[in-house]
Amino acid sequence: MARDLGDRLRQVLGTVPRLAPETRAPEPRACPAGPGGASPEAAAALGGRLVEREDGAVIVIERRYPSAARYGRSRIGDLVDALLGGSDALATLARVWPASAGARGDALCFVDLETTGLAGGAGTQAFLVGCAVADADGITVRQFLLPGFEHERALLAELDAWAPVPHALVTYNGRSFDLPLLETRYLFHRRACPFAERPHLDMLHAARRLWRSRPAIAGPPLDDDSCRLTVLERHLAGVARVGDVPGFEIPSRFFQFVRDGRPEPLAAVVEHNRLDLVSLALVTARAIGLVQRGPAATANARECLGLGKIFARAGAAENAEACFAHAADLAGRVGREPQVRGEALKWLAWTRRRAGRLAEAAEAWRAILDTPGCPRALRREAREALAIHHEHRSRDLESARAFVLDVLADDDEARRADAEHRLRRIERKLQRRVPGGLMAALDESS
Amino acid sequence: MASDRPIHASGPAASGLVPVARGGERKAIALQTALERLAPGPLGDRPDTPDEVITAVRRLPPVEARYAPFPDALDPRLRAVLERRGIRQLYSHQAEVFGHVASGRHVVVTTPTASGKTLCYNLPVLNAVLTEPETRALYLFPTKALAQDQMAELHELAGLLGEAGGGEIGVHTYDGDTPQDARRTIRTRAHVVLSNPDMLHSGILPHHPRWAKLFENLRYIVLDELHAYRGVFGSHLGNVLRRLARVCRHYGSSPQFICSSATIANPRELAERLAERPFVHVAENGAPRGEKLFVFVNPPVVNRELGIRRSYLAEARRVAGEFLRRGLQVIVFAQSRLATEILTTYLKEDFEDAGLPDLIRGYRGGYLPNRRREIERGLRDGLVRGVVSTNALELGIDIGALDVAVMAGYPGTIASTWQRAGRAGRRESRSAAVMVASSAPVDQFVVRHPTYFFDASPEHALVNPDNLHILVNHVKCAAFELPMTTGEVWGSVDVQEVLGVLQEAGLVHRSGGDENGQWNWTSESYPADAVSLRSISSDNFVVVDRTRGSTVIAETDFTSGPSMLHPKAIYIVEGRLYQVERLDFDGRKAYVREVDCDYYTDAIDYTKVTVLERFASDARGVANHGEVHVVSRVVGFKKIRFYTNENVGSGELDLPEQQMHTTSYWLEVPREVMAALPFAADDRRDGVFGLAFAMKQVASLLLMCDQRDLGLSIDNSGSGLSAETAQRPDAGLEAPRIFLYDAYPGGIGFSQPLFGMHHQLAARTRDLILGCGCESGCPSCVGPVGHTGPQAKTVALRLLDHLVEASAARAVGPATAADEVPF
Repeated sequence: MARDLGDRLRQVLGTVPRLAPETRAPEPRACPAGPGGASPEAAAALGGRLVEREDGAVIVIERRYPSAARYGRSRIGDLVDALLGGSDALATLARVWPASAGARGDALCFVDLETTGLAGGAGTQAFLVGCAVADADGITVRQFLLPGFEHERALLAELDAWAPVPHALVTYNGRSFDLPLLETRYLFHRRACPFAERPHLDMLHAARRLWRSRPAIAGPPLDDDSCRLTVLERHLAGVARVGDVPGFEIPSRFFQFVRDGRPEPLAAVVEHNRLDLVSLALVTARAIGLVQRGPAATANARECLGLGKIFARAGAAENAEACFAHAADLAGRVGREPQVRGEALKWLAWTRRRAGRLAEAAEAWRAILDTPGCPRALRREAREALAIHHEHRSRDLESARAFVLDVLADDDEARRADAEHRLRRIERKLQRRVPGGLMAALDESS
Repeated sequence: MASDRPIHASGPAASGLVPVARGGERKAIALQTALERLAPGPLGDRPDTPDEVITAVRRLPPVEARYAPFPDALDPRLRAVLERRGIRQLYSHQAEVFGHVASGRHVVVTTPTASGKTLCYNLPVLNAVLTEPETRALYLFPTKALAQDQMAELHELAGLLGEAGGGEIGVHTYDGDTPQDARRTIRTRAHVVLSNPDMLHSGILPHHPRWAKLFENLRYIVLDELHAYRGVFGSHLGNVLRRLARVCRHYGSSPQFICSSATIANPRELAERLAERPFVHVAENGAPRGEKLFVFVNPPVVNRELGIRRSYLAEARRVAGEFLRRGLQVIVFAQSRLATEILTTYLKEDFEDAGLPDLIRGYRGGYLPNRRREIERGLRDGLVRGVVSTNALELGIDIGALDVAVMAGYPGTIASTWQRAGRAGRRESRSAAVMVASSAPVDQFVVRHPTYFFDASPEHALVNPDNLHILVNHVKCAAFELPMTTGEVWGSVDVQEVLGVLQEAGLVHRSGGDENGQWNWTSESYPADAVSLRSISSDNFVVVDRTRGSTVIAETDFTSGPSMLHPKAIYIVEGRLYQVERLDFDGRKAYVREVDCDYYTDAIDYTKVTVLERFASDARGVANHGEVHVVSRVVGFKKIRFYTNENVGSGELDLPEQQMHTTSYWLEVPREVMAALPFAADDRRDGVFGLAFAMKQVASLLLMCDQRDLGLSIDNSGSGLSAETAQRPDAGLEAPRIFLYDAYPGGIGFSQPLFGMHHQLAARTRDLILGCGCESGCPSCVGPVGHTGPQAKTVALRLLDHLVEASAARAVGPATAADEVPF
C-alpha cells in the first residue's frame, strides 16, 4: 500500500519526476565496462603500472623529460641547470627556507594534486598525487593514481614509502590547498604525512609578484587568471597545450573512471597534471634566474618591480633598490606605464627611507609628482610624504605648507582632517619662526 | 542558573518606574500588594472559580533542599575548588548523576531552572579530565548564546582547578564566531568544546580528520536543554548524532551521553530516540525552591451573545503594568512575534511618562545578536525592568531570575508553561507567574479547567529522525564524512536503498561486494552546506531598512517570509513600524522603510491539499491518514488598527506559492451525511468551517504540540480553501474533507497519532462545542460570529453526532483506528 521507498526518495531528492513504473526512464545505460580501476590493463592504458600492496592497489606512472627535450621555447636541460644551481635564490623566493634545504637542487620535489573537489573536508580526496624531481639528466615525474576509493590507504602508503626524506617541496598554491588536503588524508587514515614539516616554497606568491598583469595598487583581484600556470607557461616559454582538460571537468572524469573502470578519459587528466608539474619547474627556474641575474635580466618594468618586491621581502635592500630604480626607469622610458613607474618610485622611496637616506627618498617622491598620469592616490601619498619630509627633516616649512595645500586641494574627505591638522601646525611654526628665527627652531627641536 | 553561582540581589534600584523596592523586604511587599490588587482574596490555594476573571490561584510551596555528600570518587582538587566556592555538599540529583556516569550509564536529568543543572555534567567531566588528562568532552547547546553563557562558568572552574594543581584544562567555545587562527588550537588543545548542533553538523563532522585528537579521546557528550530538540530540529539532531557516532567509531571512541532537560513527559524516551542508546533518568531534584504563586486570568466577557472577551493583550498589559509600576522586574511572554511587538509598543507607551521607555524592551528571534546580548545584559543588571519576549527567552539564556512571569496567552504546552513560569523566582523569595488566557479554544479550556494544567503530566517531545526529507540529507553528509558500508544501518530506514537512489543521482558510488562493500561520495559539493538544522529548508529572508542608507535589521525563515514580509506589510521590530516597500522573492530580501501608522497587517493565505496516498483509514473512510501535497500562497492581507482591532482595509497580493509533501490526518464527511443535514447550503458550509476550527484546537491540545505544527485545510472535490481565511467559494460543500496536516515537509509525526486518536478527537471536540456558553459560536469554540455564521455551532454538533456514530458503529477491520496514541 505504501509507496515504494525508492520512489519517495527520488521525489524527495527531486531527481526524477514521479512517474508510473512503466513510464519511468530506463536506468542510465551502463557504459561498456572498462578493465576496472585497479587493473594492470587500466594502469597500462595510462602508461603506468599497478602496484599491489596489502591494503590495496595504486597506479604509479613515471615519465622522464630528458635534458635534450624542449618545453616550448625552453630546453629541459636549461631548466634543470637553473634548478640545480638555485639554492640561494630559493632562499630569497621562499618565506621560510632553512639554510640546509635545497642545498643541492636535485632535492627539490614539485608537488601537485588533482582532487575530487575544492571544498575541502573529509569527503574531498586527492585522487592523483603528482611529484616531479629534477636531476642532472632531466626531470622525472612520478604520479600516484587512485584506482578506486577503497585504495586510498595504499596510495598514501606508497607515496610515503617513495617520498625521499631530504626533499624540499615546491607547490603552486600548496600552502593553502594541496598540502593541508594531503595532510587531512593522512590524518583520516591516522598516519603521519610524509610531507609535513618539510621546507616548502609556494611559488604562487612569487609568481603573483612577478607576473600578475594588473597593477597591485588596486589590491589583488579575486579572480585573476594572469597567474594560472597555463597562462604563465605560454607567456614565459611559449608553451601551448593541445587538448588540455579544463579544471572544472577533472573531478567528474575521475568519478566516471571509478564508475565504469574505463581509464581513457583520465589520460588527459594525468597529462594535465604532468604538464602542470613541468610548468611549475619552468616557472621556478625562471624566478631563480631573475633572482640570480637581477634587474638586467627582467623582460619589462612590471617584472622588474615584482623582482624588487621579492628582494625587499627577503631583506635584500640593495638588490631591491636597484630593481625599483631600474623598473621606474624602464617604465618611464620604454613602455610609458605611469602606474608602474609610480609604484616603483614609491617602493624606491620606502626602501631609501628605511635605509636612512631621506633626501634620496624625497627625490623619489618628487619624481612621482613629475610623472604625468600617475594615479591620484600615489600623488597624494607623495605629497604627504614630502610635507612630512619638509616639515621635520629639511625644515623647509614653506615647501611643507605648499605640499599640504596641494593635499587639501585634493578633494578627499578621509585624509582631510589629517592634512588640516598638519597645516595648522606648520602655520603655527611659521609664525613662531618669523620673529624667533633660529631660536624658535632650536626650541622646537629640544 | 546554577546553584553554585552567588545569587545577586535584584539590579540597581534606580528603576525609575518606582516606588523603588530596596532589598528583599520591600520587594516582597511590592509583590504582595500587586497580587492582592490583581487577585483580591487569600494569597494561597483557593478553590477554582472558572467563571470569574481570576479562575485559579495556586500556591506552590517552597521546597527544602536535599543534599548528598561529595562522592568518594571525586578528585580532591575538584572538591577543594568547590569548597572554596562555598559548596560543601551536592544536591541529591547532582550526586545521583555523578554515580550513574561513574558506572558507565548514559544519563538524562530533568531539572527546572536554577537547580544546579550545570554541575550535573561539569562534575563528572572535570573529574575525568583531572584523572585522565587526555579526556575530551563535547557540549552541545541549542544556541550559540547558551554556549557562551556556560563558557564563563566552566572557564572559571577550570581556572581554579589549574591553580589547584589540576594542570591546564582547555575550555573553548567553537562556533561560527570563533576566529580562524584560534580554531587550530581548539582542535587539539581543548578538553571541553562548547558548541551547537549546527556547528557540529557543518563545521566539525565534515572536517573530522582535523579533530582526530578530540574524537579519539571523546568520552562525554553533553546535550543541554534536551527538550529543545523536538520537531524538525530534534529530527535533524538525531541524524547528526548518528553521524557523530560513526565518526567516533572510526576513531575508536564510544562516548557517554549526559543530557539535561526541562520537565517533559518523556525525557528518557527523547534521549533514547535522539542518541539511540539506553538511558537512565534522574527525575528527583534536590534543589530548593522559593514559594511561587500561580494565577490564571481569564479576560472578562464584554459581549455575552458574541462570546467576546476583553483582548487578552490588553489584559496582559494591565497585569504586567501592576507589577512594573511597583518596581518589580517582569518578563512577559507573548505567543507570536507580532503579539510581542504589539505588547512591547503598549508597555513602552505606558511607561513613557516615567521618561524611561527604554526600561521596557522587546526580544525575539530575528533581532540581530548584538541587540539581543544588550537586552540580556540589561536584564541581569536590572537596568531593563520589563521584557516582552517570544519563546526565545524560554531557554536557559542567563537573564538572572526575575520577579514575575506574565504569559500573554497559554504557551500551548504544559512543559513550556512551567518553563516560562520558571523564569521568575529565586531560591529565597516569593515569585509569581500569571497566565492570561486568550479566547482561543485551548486557552479557554485550560483557564477554565485549571486542574487539567496543574495535575496533568507535561507533554511528550516528538521527533522523527526517520523523516525522509531530513534523513536523506544527513546520509549524504555521512557519506562525505566516511564511506558508508554495505552493512551500515540508519534508523528504521533501509539506508542501502537510500544510497542506491543517491547513486542514481550520481552522488555516491558503490564499490566492493555485498559483504564488505562501501559507498563513497562522488560529488564536488560539500553537502552540509546545503542543510540547515533549524528548518527543512535552509533558506531565509533578510529585512533591509532603507530609511537611512541600507541596514539589515532582521531576518526570517523562508516559510514565514511571504506572510510577514509581503509588499505593504507592516513589519515591527521592538515597537518600531516598518512598511515593506518591495519583496525581492528570488533575492530573499525585503526592503522596508520606517513609517508611522496606527495599524498592523495580517496575511491571508490560501491552501490546497491533494491526497497522494492513503496509508490507512477507518472502515467507512471517514478518518484517514496518508501522504498529501500542500500548496499554499499568501493571497492578500488585512489592515488591523492597534488597540481596537478593527479591520481598516485590505489588499490583494500575487506572491509565488510554496509547496510541500507531508503527512496528514483527514476527515471525509460523507455526501449522504451532508445531504441529510436539514440546513441551507450556507449553514452547512459554516458548520464544516466551525467544526474544523474547533477540531484543530482540540488536536493540538491532544497532541500537545504547538498550534503552528499543524496546518488546516478544507476542500470539496478538489477546490481548496483555508478555514483561516476570509476566502470562500460560492459553491456549497457536498462532500467536504477536513485536513489536519503536519506543517513540515515529510511530516514530523503528528498526523499518525491524530489518526490513532480519531475517536477521542471527535468526542473532545463535541465536548468543547457543547460545553461552551455562547449562543451561536464564539472564538472559543467554532470561531467568532461573523467569521462562521449563525448556525455554525448547531451544524457542527450535528456533524459530530453523525461522525461519532458512524465511525463508532462501523469501525472494524485491520485499518481500524485505535483509540490510543502510538508514541
